[in-house]
Amino acid sequence: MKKQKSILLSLIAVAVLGVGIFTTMNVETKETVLIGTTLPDYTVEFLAENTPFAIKGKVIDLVQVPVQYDDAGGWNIFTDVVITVQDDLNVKYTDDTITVRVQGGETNKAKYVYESSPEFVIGEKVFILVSDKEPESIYGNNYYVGGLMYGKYNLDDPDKAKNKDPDRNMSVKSLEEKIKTAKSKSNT
Amino acid sequence: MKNNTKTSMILSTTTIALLVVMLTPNAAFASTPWYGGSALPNGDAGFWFHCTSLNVLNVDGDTTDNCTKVQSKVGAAMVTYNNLGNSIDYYNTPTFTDHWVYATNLGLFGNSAEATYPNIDDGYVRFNNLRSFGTTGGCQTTLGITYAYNLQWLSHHELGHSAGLLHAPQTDTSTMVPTCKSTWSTVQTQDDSVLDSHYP
Repeated sequence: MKKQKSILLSLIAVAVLGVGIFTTMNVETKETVLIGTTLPDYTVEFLAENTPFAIKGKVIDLVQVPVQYDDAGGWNIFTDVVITVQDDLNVKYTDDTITVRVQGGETNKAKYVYESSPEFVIGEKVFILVSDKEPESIYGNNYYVGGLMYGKYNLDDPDKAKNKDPDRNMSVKSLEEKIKTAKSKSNT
Repeated sequence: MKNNTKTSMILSTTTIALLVVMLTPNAAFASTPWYGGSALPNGDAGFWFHCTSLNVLNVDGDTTDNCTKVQSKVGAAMVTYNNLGNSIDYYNTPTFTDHWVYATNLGLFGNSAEATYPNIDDGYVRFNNLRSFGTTGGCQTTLGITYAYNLQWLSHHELGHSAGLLHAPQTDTSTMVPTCKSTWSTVQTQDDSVLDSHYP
């Protein structure tokens, strides 16, 4: 009886060990692939004057997009960022949510990071200047962030608007004033 | 007395030397950052030019048959890298091997160009076909926005990414500063020294 128990325990121990080793051996460590980019130094004022929506909201979902191929056959990796809309400073956008497509994301093989892409996390409060849909572009029939990283600010701190480029950080008040001034200029 | 004079001279010289070091601009010691991965396998990359897309890239105000112009300007930048005195070898290939140069629509408010780093098999340098480029000139500023107009300057920058160089701080004397300036005209000393250490 004692012998049987010890055999059973040994078998369980071997099984647990086996599963552990199998799991460890099969853990995929995804390689990170960086893509270097050259982005014109778009100012907030320029983007505000030339994009249709200035959205304040909260990120609620990040959806990986399957690899997309452009007209020349080049690969493109995207993530769709779903944002609940709290305010559009331009008072034009009417839906409750907006989805913007950003370069970068994950495939089975690797994580792709584009240097100039705006970065989003679920739950983050954001401000984005949204470019109109350009169906002929790599973004297809989707909205994207105008000026890429220069068109997105993190608003988790109620007083501070933070950009991926720290030199562009400013107060939320200052950001809103810049946008309203630029917008009024483009409307006259 | 004699000893005092000697000591004071040594102290003065040391102080002056220290001041010179402290007052020398940081840029003199700047180093272009490396992307963190391995260098190009064998130090080389073969570039295939996708003429179907490059022919219609806007170069010198013209949008027809521009592949030759692009090949000439990217080719000149490739020669700059090949002549640096390290083991980098950029060359043209008639068919795709590991890298290609092409043009696509990266969006009106998107990147002007993009390039992969060395840790990828299917590498590229690609230009935004919504931008206007040129075979002369340098950087261009329109409506307060600066971008690289000269294709050869832009290619120096993109091929730096292809070799493994990240962006350097904008104040550096580097072809890898993020926003176009005159230092894009060729590969600079601080870029070259980093490449030397990865492509001996």
